[in-house]
Amino acid sequence: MVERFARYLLSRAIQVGITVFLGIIASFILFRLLPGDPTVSILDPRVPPEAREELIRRFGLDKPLYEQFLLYVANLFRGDLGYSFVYTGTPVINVVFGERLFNTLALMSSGMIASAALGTILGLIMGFRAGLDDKLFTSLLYLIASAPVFWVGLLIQFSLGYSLGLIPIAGTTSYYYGEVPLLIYFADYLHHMIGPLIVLILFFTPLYYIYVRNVISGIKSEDFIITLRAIGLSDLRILANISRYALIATITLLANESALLVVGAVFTETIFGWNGIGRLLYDSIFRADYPVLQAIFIATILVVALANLVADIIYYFLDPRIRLEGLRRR
Amino acid sequence: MALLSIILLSITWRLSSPWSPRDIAGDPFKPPSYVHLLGTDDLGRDVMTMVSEGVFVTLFIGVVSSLIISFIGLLIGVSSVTLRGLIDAALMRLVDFLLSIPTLVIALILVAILKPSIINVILVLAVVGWPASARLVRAYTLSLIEAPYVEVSRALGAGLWHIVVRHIIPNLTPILLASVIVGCRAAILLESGLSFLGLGDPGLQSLGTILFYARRSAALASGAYWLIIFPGMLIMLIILSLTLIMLAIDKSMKIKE
Repeated sequence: MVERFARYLLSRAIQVGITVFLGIIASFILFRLLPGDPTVSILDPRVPPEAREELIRRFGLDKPLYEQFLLYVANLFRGDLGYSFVYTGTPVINVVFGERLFNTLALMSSGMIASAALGTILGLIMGFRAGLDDKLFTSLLYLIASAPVFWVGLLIQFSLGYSLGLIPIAGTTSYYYGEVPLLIYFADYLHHMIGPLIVLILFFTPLYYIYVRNVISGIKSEDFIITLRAIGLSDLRILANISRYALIATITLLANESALLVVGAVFTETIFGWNGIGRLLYDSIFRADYPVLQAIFIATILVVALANLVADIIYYFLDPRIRLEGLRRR
Repeated sequence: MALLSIILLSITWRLSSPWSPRDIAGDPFKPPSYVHLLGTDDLGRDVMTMVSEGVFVTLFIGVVSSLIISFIGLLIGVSSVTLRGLIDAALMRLVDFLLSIPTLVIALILVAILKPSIINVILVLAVVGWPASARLVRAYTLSLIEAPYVEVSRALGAGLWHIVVRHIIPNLTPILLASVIVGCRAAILLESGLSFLGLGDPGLQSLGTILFYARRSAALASGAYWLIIFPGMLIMLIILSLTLIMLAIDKSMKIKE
């Protein structure tokens, strides 16, 4: 049993390794594709020539491409992602992995977990009932799912922010850290989070709802459900039985959406001025801050790989078929 | 139906409107009235006229890129199955990898590297869109290649080329149609998003671009809700129509099986 799990885990870990490796290659190629001389596009044109020579040596830009790649990987493992063009002198790693990452993770994880829970429960109930209320509710959620996120963001900002004044219009906090008691700071932080959070929940809930509802309404007519009903199990007990399928569906979707944990809120963060990775990505594009873009890309790939690994482990314990036959997802 | 009426309405208004989308037609920030049915923007341009042109730009970019997406998908999907072995495995690894990264991130980084023009935007949409289409085509081709009539054809000595052209591709038509619709939906959403972030073709006004300018001209702070609501609602209706078409195709294919 343990041995089987170990073998399973190893095969998944190799998969993850391949993904990360591909990602590193992609990030290397993508940012070498930048038009013109790499020393121009990777180095800020304003730096003096001596500093440029130094950087060329350090990143081995005068060496052949494969040596550059090895050096790039070596620097990566040391956590050296270069320096930001805009936040001069700050290592990229400090720009990306710090307060901004925390803000994004706080916003996205609450948004995604709330939506997953809400969407799964509603989808489970509606898929099981399959009546008129299911039809109406599902249509409504298809409508919401068709609305572009940024538009929903603007509408929420306009209605709750400008018109009603219930939420702050933009920003992450109104105070500096340490300026006010911690509790007030925290409350203020949450108050700023309401707007973006509503947008995210409106965006993610339909995804989970539609997926789970379709899985459940597909299962409803399977033989084993009919058997359970014939045995005389109450609806509630059957629902409890089915919920395992809903859970597997939800986890599949969560794993697929996991990459969004880091960069999922570009629109929402930009509209509400939330100081996170999504807004950093947006700003960096306009400022041509390539080292930061590269770091965000790599961070995304790491999160994707990690989340898929975690999902695979959860599948193993949730789905007995995998325990017996090994995984054949997708 | 809804899609058709949006298109018809846009054509009618675009042709009969007394203004061009760039004309200054009245006072700035006028709410909807009988003269300006959807109001005017910060420069006094007629929103209805701008929107009716925006619908076309948005749909055009969406349709062209979804056709490219489906073509690449067909090429990669079919060749992946027929070539088998290592090439198939390598292509599908690549597809898996591309699908696992959020399309918006790739698109944003690519647009940042390229210059924003309509050709580059379509190119970027195609680059991020093809993997989904390739996977769909591949899955379907796999089931087709095992079909009895293909085996008969092979037994009769038909070459690979003959099988692909005569048997596989004609039978892929419904899946290609689905792929075009799905691709179009994704492309329109992404294009609107890029334009909303100010990364669209500066010479063309898609629905997303109108929203970008609306946000930049502080339409919200001045209470000019009409600049926000109508373009966004049109994107929503277009996407909803495409979703419904998608569901209908899905249903009819299930019934056939």
